[in-house]
Amino acid sequence: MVQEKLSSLTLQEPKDKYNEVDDSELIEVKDIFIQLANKLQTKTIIKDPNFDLFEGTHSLEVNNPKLDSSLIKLTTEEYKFDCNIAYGSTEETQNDALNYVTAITERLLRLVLCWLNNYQTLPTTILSCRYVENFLVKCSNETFNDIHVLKTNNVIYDKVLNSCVIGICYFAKFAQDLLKSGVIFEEEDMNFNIMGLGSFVGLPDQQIILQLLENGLTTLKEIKDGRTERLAKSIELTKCFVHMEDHVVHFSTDNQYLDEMIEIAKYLDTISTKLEPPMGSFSMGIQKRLANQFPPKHLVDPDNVQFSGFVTLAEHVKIVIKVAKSENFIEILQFATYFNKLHQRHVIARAIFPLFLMREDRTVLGKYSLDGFLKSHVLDLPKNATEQNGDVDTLIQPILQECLSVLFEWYQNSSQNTCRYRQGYNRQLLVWDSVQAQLENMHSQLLSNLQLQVTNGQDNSQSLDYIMSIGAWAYSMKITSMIEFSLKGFDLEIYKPFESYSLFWYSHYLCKHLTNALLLIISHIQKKKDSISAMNKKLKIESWEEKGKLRTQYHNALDIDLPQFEMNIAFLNYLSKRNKINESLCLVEIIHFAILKSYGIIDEKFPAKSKFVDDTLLHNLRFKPFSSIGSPPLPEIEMFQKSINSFMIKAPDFKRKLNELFKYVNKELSSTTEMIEEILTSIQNGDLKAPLYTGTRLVEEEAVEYFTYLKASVKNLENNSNDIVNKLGDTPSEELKSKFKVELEHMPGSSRYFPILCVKPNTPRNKKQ
Amino acid sequence: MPIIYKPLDINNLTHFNELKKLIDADLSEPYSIYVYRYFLNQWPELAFLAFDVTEEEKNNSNNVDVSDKVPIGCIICKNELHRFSRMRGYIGMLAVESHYRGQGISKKLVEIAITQMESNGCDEIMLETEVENVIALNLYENMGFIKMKRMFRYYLNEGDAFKLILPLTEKSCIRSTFLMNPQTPVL
Repeated sequence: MVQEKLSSLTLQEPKDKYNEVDDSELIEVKDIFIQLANKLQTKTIIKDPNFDLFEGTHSLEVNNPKLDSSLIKLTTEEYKFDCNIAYGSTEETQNDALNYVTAITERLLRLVLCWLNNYQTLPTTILSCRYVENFLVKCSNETFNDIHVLKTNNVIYDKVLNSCVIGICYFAKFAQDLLKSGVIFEEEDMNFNIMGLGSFVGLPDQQIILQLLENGLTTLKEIKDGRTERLAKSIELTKCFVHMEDHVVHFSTDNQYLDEMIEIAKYLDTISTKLEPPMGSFSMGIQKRLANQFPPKHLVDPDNVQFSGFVTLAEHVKIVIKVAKSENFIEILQFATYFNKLHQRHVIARAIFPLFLMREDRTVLGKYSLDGFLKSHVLDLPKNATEQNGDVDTLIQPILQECLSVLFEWYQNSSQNTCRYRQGYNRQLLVWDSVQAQLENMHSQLLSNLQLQVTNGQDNSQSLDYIMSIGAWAYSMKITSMIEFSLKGFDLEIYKPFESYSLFWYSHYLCKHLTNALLLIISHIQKKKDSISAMNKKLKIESWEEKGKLRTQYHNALDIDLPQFEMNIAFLNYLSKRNKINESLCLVEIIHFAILKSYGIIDEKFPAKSKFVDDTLLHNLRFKPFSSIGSPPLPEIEMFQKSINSFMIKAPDFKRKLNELFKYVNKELSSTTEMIEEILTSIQNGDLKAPLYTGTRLVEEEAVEYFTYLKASVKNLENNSNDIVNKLGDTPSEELKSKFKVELEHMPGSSRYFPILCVKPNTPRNKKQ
Repeated sequence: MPIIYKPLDINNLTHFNELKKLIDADLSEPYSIYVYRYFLNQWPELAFLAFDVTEEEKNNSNNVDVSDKVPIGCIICKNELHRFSRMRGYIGMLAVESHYRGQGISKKLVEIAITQMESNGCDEIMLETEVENVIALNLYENMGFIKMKRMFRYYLNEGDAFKLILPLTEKSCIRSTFLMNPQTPVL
């Protein structure tokens, strides 16, 4: 019976259910437990079916010092520490209270940096502060109603420190909200192990906290002591934190508090006097006392952390909110493309970006409807284009919804950390493919019904054009995602040198397809531009009644659609040029690989001997993300193998052929440099010179740096041609195979998408490998 | 020195404690007893130990009693159906006592484990390793594993990690989405 009762117990029992139980009704279960446990076989594991390896690796172990935080040893000062004692204000040490509170606040602020900028955990940073723990424990109680939690009878503690602690907790709550919104990832982007104190139920609203901080500053002003200025800076800095949510809650574009944050952080870094907080005020104790789901971890030492970390935070948030100044969708698109591309932005800035851009009120930046924003990306659609045919419109709506969802995913992906960024494309390319396939299917069905509908007096040519435009856009987005996914792997050092050939060859193949896709869109727009001109001619021959209607249409097209089309063509010219740069650089990488293979020092097949290796399987696994993509189709492995042979140099006349190939490489690189220069000029001149429109006004610095890096890659590839000959000579030999190997090398200041295939001496250790 | 390799005897508590010691000394992530039991009790046939023996014992390795010997290396693995689509082998832990490194013991342990997982019907073998762990990366990449993705701040010691896969059958090369639904044609 007891066993049955035990098995019926759950963890969800209300806490007070057994309050009324009489002690005499309770029985000792220890013996039953031991008796049952003895019956278990060694191989038995008692676990919930949902408790898998992930839970396992996060499980703790009682009495294991590495895993049991209850075994943490605290000092006497830590045990005795009391938040309601005003340390430093006894008769002997009364002047120390100010220094103590200054030290506590400064340490706390440095710990915020350790938490966010250095990706440390909450318990080892801000939660290690006893005042933070004290406040959060009280604030987690639903009956909490007094924000004046410190009762030391010393205003520096009770008013100043208290306000700082609450302000920082308010900011922590904001960070928690960012995590909950799903735009950044817990653990990898930010740790939020709040030790069971994350309800923040008693946390007052922003205005009350700002007032509290203001009162803290007033209190400091009333103290006639020159040292208060230093402490006041920490309180002012905390006020800046409290304002951080304004960008997400009120979509504020106000920079003032960010500038203040920068100024204060710089000031605090000029102070060299180090102050020590009271003993025991920062402690691992919270890990011992509260609900800790993680192994014990030593506290982070913030002493060497510079306040300038806040400058990074503020500058990056300033960058992100600049997107509000965009004048058209291309500027938004380009902003998302470049703001986080070369350098990963601060996690708070990265989290703010998608929430600031794509708002809860179902607008983009509060000025574009979702539908309008989506359609503006389809460059060959006239502004405000809508589907006229009701049946087609009904059918296309779910596809447009899918388009919108993947487009938003694209924007959100642009602010992800560098590793997630690549994974995002892995998911997206499937959705783009599905969207494109659905549109193509719809297009062919409509086309096959066209004859019938024409006889019924309907003209579906506009519908066909509408579907084709969206399809062509989805296709170009898909290929762009595929290229980005492939080349980003070089940046993340995913590929080995032997794989680089197939990856560059495939990327080159994709670039070719993208070129065609972009040209097709340009030709669509050109046709539409021509049709606007044709309206003028039609105007001359139409009857008087028709003329008025047509004239309005003509002027609308002339004033709205034509400038839009011209800008879109200029943007497409830029996209084509950027794609051509990628294509050329891939080609040069392919040629370098083929040359090195001709010397016999690298092969596109797996280089080591292993009984488990199957080259076809390795190739197919590498190209798994693309295996289901219908268009452009993934070439068969034989195509990859054949292609390299066409680039290789074979005897006789190796030297001459080599020189010719290098000449070709130099020519390709030289035209690549010209294209980069052209784009750079356009960016730096504010896109004033047609025929390019880069739309990078708001991310000029980032875009210039991106293309400057590409220019450096061109130079590196040029130098690598020389390096190959210098190291290997102009004739292949057996000796070279054992003397040299090839490594993928990322040169500083150049694009990480195009590492060079660097010839390195094969040391004995390498030979062994 | 001669080394022999034996499957783990799950009932040998000394070996269990020794392999735990070997791994605890090396790995960046502290594991609870549960993690060891999770692997070893469910897949005891996928845990192998390496022992330092005499030449004579090596020559007679099938009959050597290792029950009282201290293992100097071990590998711990599992295999399971992944996303209802393919059998995935997973190398969870690998450690060799520091004095015995550089002799190919790790490589041999990995080979034995992969062979066992292959015979269990695995379509692929997967593992994660720290980006900074060049020795482990060289070991696995030379055996045919390729890096599939990089994971940001994956470990408690804050380092990035790579996920590596060794494909054993064509199923490894098809997205799970297209393997899960029997209606979906396999490309």
